Amino acid sequence: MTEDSGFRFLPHTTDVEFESYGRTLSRAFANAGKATFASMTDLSEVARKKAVRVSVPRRSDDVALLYDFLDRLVYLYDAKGMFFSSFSVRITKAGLSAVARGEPISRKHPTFSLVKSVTYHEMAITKRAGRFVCRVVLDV
Amino acid sequence: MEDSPHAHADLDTRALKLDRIGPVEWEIPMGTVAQMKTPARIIASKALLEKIRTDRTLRQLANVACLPGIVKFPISMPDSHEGYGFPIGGVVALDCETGGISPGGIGYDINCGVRLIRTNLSAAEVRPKIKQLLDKIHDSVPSGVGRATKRKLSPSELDAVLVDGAKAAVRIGQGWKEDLEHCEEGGSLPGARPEKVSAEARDRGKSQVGTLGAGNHFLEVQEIGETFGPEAEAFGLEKGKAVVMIHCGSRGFGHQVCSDYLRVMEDKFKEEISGLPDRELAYAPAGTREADDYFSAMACAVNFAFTNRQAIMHSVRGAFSRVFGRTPEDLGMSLLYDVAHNIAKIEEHHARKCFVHRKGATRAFGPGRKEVPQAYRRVGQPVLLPGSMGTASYVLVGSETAMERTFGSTAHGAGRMMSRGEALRRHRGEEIVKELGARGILVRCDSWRSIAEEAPDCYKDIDEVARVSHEAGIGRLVARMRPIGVVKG
Repeated sequence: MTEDSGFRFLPHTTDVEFESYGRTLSRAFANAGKATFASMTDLSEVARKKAVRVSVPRRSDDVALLYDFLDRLVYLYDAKGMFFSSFSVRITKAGLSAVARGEPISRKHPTFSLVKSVTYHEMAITKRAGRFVCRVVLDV
Repeated sequence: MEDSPHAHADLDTRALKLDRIGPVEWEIPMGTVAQMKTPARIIASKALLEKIRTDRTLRQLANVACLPGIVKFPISMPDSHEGYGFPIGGVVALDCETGGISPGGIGYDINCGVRLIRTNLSAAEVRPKIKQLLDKIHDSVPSGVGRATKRKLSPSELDAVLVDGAKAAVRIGQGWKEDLEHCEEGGSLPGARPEKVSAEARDRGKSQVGTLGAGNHFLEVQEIGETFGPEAEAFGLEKGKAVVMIHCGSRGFGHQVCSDYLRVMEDKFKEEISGLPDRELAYAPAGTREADDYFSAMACAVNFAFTNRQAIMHSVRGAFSRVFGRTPEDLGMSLLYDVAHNIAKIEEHHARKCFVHRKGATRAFGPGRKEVPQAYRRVGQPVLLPGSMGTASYVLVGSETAMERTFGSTAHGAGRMMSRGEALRRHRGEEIVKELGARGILVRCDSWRSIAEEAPDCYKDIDEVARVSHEAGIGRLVARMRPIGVVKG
């Protein structure tokens, strides 16, 4: 995975760690969604057959918003059996609204790590060279 | 080692000065991190300590010593490694009045744990049928990414699981009454209140009872290769016999409970948390509604995991029964014990009532304790130490020394030391399976990648972890098992 794909995995002893990038915060969040599912399967195998609306109210800062957004995606994967490969995200003062596109998990999807939780560990949102960078560790 | 992404400038864990207080015991002195309220202790050999120094374990242990109401000192075990906030392989006791309870001190996979089932079959009898056996087990125990049971539990069935734990499974015929006597807490932690659990956690959990999950979780048919002390007889373990080990937890349910309450505590106790060195140390002060609510929800997840392992054991008994054409009773498939690795309990230690957080640590109570099942009370509690895929596992016994020095606790297994990415660069699943096959270990797994990620050399040396636990006297050697067949998620 390269930075051009919008995210990059970093080495981590026990879990999955990634950085996602975007010229806007919304874009960086959308790429964080992609990275989460890229750790579980091959995104090119996930057809965008079904759109699911996700809305997350803001509790406090952007880090908490990112945590809650990804937590919601992990819920949709684990409880509803969905893989997503594309996201459009809108962030406002009130929170986040997004559309996640994908399809139900089936035997045709190769499976990698099973993401069990998003964590706050090392979670950070920074700006680097004019781009937003989200750093996330997933518990697998 | 190349895999230490978090070498922090603020505390060089490699050079950190430790006081040696015993052959395998070390202390991080007060003042290493400014807010420390107590020193912190590490049980490790020199060799293991070298590995522990390569990540942030020691920094995290020192951070934990900053929590309010900390009793004696936080302790990390020989298999400890970096976790979120709290290190994995840690025991932290917080006073029930002046301390609190922290989801990060328990871990996301609440009541991740192990159970060991005895059989009266010799390994020689099992080997010729191992492929058939693993296929049957694999068919009846869903494992891997996105694999759930076909039947969803109804809301009232799920409530029964959350309140009663393994008892709920036994009630519907998934097990024997005596199984419950051989589980920590009788397979059912009191205080569970399903109304404290979110709809999301219930959604994730309702089709996951009886599933193994993925990652480091596994189900293994093992041979008892060696026994050590007289406790082996008391535990009914005999050299050459086959046993079955189940290692898994509360699945998506427990993870959701943990993440729900991290959020609650973060929002509610901003001020308390802002004074701590790490956001993942978030806790609810003792006596608050949030502390009670979390304990009640955590107990639900604990019971979910006990039920999960009970349901899986039931499937394993069925698989053995079909393959060998004998009943599980006739095959002597009794439960040795079931232990939790990630849990908080209210226990009394050093004359103080405390929330004992064990995260990647096993309770190891000594002889005579009422919590130890009658059958083992004379010798002490069985402690189960799972290895990783293809390596040995151990049965230890709890001790008086553990009661005095480690809040009645010892290690929980091997502890990862190589990143998944590095494992994938070094290994191919097909080759690992071949290699293990040549050593007489059959692996059944749907994902080559998962096998490569879990290759035996990704973990610390389990033999050294068990040896150090024995030398420290906190969990003495009883039996060493080697795998014959593995089912991985």
